[in-house]
Amino acid sequence: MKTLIVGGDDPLSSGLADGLRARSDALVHLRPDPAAFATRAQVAAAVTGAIRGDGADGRSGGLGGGLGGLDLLVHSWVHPSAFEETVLAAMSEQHWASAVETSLYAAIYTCQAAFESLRDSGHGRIVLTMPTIGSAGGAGYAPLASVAEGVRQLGKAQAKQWGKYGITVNMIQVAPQNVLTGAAGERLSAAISLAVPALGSSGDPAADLAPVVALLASADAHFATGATLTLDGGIWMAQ
Amino acid sequence: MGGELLPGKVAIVTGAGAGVGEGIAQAMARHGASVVIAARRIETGEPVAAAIRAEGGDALCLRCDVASRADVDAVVAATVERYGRLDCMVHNALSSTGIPSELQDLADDTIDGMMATAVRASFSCAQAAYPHLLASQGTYIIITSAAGVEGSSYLPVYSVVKGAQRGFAKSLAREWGPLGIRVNSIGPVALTPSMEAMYVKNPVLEERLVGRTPLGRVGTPDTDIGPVAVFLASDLSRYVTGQTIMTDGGGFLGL
Repeated sequence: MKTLIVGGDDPLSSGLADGLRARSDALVHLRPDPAAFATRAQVAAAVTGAIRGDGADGRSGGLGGGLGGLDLLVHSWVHPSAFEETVLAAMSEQHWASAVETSLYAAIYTCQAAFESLRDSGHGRIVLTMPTIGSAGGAGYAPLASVAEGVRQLGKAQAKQWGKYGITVNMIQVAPQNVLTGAAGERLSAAISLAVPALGSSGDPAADLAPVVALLASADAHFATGATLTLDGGIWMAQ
Repeated sequence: MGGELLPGKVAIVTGAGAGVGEGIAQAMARHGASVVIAARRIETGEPVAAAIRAEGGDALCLRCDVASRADVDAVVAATVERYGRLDCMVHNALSSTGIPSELQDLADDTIDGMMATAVRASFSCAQAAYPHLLASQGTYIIITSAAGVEGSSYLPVYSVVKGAQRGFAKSLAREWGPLGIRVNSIGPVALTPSMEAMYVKNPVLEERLVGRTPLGRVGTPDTDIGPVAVFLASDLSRYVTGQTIMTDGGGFLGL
C-alpha cells in the first residue's frame, strides 16, 4: 500500500503517520508549508510531487523519489490558524480567510491532485479526518468546526462521484483532544457531551485510530464509502 | 398584516430578490417585521420590497453583494440607521452553483463564487450583525441544504460550503448562546428560479425529487419555507439554537 498523509505536525497527523508507516509499503507524510499551500498550483505541485517524486516538497520526508503511485490518501491538514481559539467578534477577516478558506481549498485541491493516481490504483482509498466539533459545534473554534463539517461533506460528495472509479472515501471524526492539545481540547470535549469516554480515553492516534484507517484502506472495506466513523472512545454518539 | 409573531422586529434577508430569500422576507413581513431586502441587484430586490409594501408591510431594498464586506457592513449600518435596531439576520444569498460537475473537473471560478457568498459571507453577516443582535437579543439564521448533510452527487463544492455553514452555525450557537443570541439553520427544498433552472438541465429531477418527498410536492418559498424562518426569528423558538430544521417535505430524514 502506497500511503500519502497530508497533515501538519498536530498529534493526529503525526500519530496517523506513525501508526500507518508499518502498515504501508511506502508512506510519505507531506507537511505543507502554510505559506505555500493555498493556490491550486501550489497544492498540486506538493501533492503530485509527493506521489510521483517530480519536484516533491522538500519537507515531505519519507521517500526522496516519491511514492511512485498512490493507494491511500489521508487528509488531515488544516491551516494552523484554525487551531487558535478566537471569538467571532474579535476575529479578523484575514484570520477567517486563512483558517477556513485556505483549509477548505487545500482539501479540495489535494483530492483533485490525487484523483488520477487513486483512479489508476484500481482500489484508491481516501480517508478524511476531522474533529467532532464539526458535527457538535465548538465555542471559540467556529473556523475549525466550519472546516471540519465542510470537509466531511466534501467526502460524501466525492464518495458519490468517485465510486465508479473504484475510489472509496470515508471519514473519521476524532475527539477534539486529538487535534487541540492542552485544556482547549478537554473543554470542547466536555461541552459536546456530559458523558466520559465509554472506552476510558479519547484515544491515541497511532495505536487506536491508525488501525481503523488501515482497515478502511484494506480490501475488506471495499464496500464502505461515504461513511463517517466517530473514533473518540465513545463520547459523541449523535451520528 | 394580522396574527403577527414578529411585531416591531427588524430583519435583514440576503439574497431576497428571488426564491427562498424572497419567500422568507414575505413571510416575515406578513408577521409584522420590517424587512430589509438585501439584493445584489436593485432591479430584482425593489419589486420584492414594493410587493410587500403593497400588501401593507414594511420593506426596504438595499443593494448588497454579500461577497463584499463593505456592502454587508453598509446594509447593516443603513438598517440600524433607518429602524434603530436589528433583530434577525438571515443569510440566504449564494452565487451560482455552476453546472453539475465532478470534483476533479471543477474550476476555480465556481469554487470561488460559492466560497465567497456562502462561507465568507456567513462570517461577514455574523460579525456585522453581532453588536445589534447582542443589543436586541436577536437571532441569526443561515440557509443551508440537505447537500450539506448528505453530500451532493452533482455539486460537490455546494456540499462543502453548505456543510461548512452548518459547522459554523453550531459553533456560533455555542459561542453566542450565553450572550442571548440564537443561531439556527434551515435546509429548504422549494420551487425557486434556480430550482426551475435545474429542472431544465435535468428533466428527471422534479419527478425524482417529488418521489422521495413524503409530502409529495416541492415547497413554496413564502408559505412553506418562510414560516419556519418566522418561527426561528420569533420568541416561540426561544429555547431552540444550533439546530438545522430540514424544511423539505420530509425528503431528508437523517437528523
